[in-house]
Amino acid sequence: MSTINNMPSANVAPRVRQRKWQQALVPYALIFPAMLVFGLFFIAPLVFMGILSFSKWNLISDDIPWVGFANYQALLQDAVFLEALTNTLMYTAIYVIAIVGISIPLGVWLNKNTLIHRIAQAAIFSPHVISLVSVAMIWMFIMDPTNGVLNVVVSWFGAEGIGWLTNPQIALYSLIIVTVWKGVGYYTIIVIAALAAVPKTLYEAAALDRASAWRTFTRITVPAITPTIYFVIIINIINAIQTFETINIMTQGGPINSTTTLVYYIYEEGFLNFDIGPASAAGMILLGILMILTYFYFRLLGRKVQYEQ
Amino acid sequence: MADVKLVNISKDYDQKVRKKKQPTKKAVEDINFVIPSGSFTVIVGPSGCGKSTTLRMIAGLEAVTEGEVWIGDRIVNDVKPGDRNIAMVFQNYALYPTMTVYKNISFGLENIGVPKKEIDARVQQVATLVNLSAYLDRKPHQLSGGQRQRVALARAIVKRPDLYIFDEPLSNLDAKLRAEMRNELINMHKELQTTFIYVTHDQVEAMSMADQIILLNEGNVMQIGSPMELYHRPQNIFVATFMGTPAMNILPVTEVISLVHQTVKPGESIGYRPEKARLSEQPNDDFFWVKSEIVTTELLGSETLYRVKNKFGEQHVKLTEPFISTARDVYVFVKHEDLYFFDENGERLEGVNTHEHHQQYALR
Repeated sequence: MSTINNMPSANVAPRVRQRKWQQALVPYALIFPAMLVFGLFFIAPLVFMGILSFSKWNLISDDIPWVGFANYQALLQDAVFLEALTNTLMYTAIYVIAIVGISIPLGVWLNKNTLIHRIAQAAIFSPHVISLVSVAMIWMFIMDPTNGVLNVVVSWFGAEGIGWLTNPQIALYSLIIVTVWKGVGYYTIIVIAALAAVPKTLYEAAALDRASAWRTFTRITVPAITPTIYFVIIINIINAIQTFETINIMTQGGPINSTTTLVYYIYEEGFLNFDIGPASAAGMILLGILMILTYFYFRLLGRKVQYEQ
Repeated sequence: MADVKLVNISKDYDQKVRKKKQPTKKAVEDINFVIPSGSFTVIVGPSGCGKSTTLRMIAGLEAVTEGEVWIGDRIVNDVKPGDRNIAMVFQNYALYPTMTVYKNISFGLENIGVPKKEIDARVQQVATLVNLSAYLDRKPHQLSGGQRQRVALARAIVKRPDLYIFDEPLSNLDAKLRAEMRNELINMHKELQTTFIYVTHDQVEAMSMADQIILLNEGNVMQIGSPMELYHRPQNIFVATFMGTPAMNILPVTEVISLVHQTVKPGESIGYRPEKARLSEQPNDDFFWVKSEIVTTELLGSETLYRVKNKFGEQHVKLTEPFISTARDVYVFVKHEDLYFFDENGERLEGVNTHEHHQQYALR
């Protein structure tokens, strides 16, 4: 800067100003491509969806009349939508509890480096590498009411065959079984990774402090991996709310809407019935739910979770 | 209060591997020693000497491959760490990161069902002892290194164990704090009147705190004794060069040297401590002397450290008064009774140098 200051004053001002202006511009120029893509494929559709949720449209017509809150009102009176909402909540709650409830004990149990544990780790992880569509197809065979393996096993115990995917009381739980089976191995590996990062000396200190296995688990292991547990919970809530493939392949929301979730409802309204207005309104509600969850996630993450040696 | 006794202890980490392949070195090999009740015993040695392994076997954190660990009148090989009535302070403190200082200290008492009132009284008492009363609600990560160290100590003290075990507890602290903590540990030992076993690689810590030092190297015991005993009567070159800074000078002998009391044969070595040597411009036949030149001079304030070169190689000489000379050649000289002699295997030649002033340090 000193060389600039020594120059004749007439030249200084414009040049410095120009340079400052350029410097200010550089960061914007650098993030422009990313923001362009973000705007084009995220912000714009979002705004568009917001507008559509107050409109009536069938995906083809040029005429998109504004209907105000009519779509939202209709949704709240639509029994199928309300059922989709409760299905989604049920599905999400049970799915997340199952994933967390299984992957943590499994992770603690498999957190050893012996051959048998490595084989078990690989075995429970393997469903994760299969595509969800294949998993859904396989489980349709397994859950087939007459020829499926599951009902054969059930018949060994003298029980009657279960309509895994055909009984409205059961179908939602069957879908949960399938997605948990696919997902639990992956999250077990994540739990194992988190456990591996817990300093071994903590367990040694606990052993010298005469802590029982249960107290070691609840007072040392669980607090040490809370960040991971929160991560697993929130990621799975988001996953569960978005579940679509298994439903589309295995039940198409049936029987009698017992497996229609919010996402599947949006798909049905928008792309089977071509009622874009209500579909967009449902989409906005879904977005709202996800935003609330994300907000709590970050608040929890910032406050409650801390692990530092 | 109980003696700790190790009988023919070995630790082999690769036991399963070894059966198939050629033998490799055991981490600890056939060591024996007794740690008297109420002593402050420091196990010292260079890294990889097996000192931590030995300590962890006493604590029960590491299985014993061969031999017996005695605490008091029972063999504890198969006793769980928690049932040995010992407390350990870890190098990284191993504080429970999600618990407050209070909980860290009380955890061990809660586990054995001490009544709440008593826990509270004991925690408060110990917290006062280590100056932590104001920090009981903090989490470990809100404390400084020295404070964490105190929590670790408090957690040990509150259990009132028979035996305290320290695994390099001061190595994460800065030099000043380390010196302070050394003093505190010495005081703590006096107050508690309990056995301390302390592992370190730092011979200064060993010298300043121990009343018994066990010096290990490569899984074997080199020497057991009081700090002054190890310093003045090292059994071999390893002990001689490990204890004291700068290390004892070792002069390899290549031709027969006749001295006042004895003759030194080729292959043997002569040793002298840097602080026992003097420099002069003239040789003096009342002393053992070597013609040398000064290579470097380090002024350390209270003392001056010279590096000298002669026919035996390079050595250190430490003087309290600086030696000023313009002469090219200087003479290093050492009293005959300050010389040490080692045989070709590095074992000290006993009986050659048994000057009285060495003996008076044999027992402190």
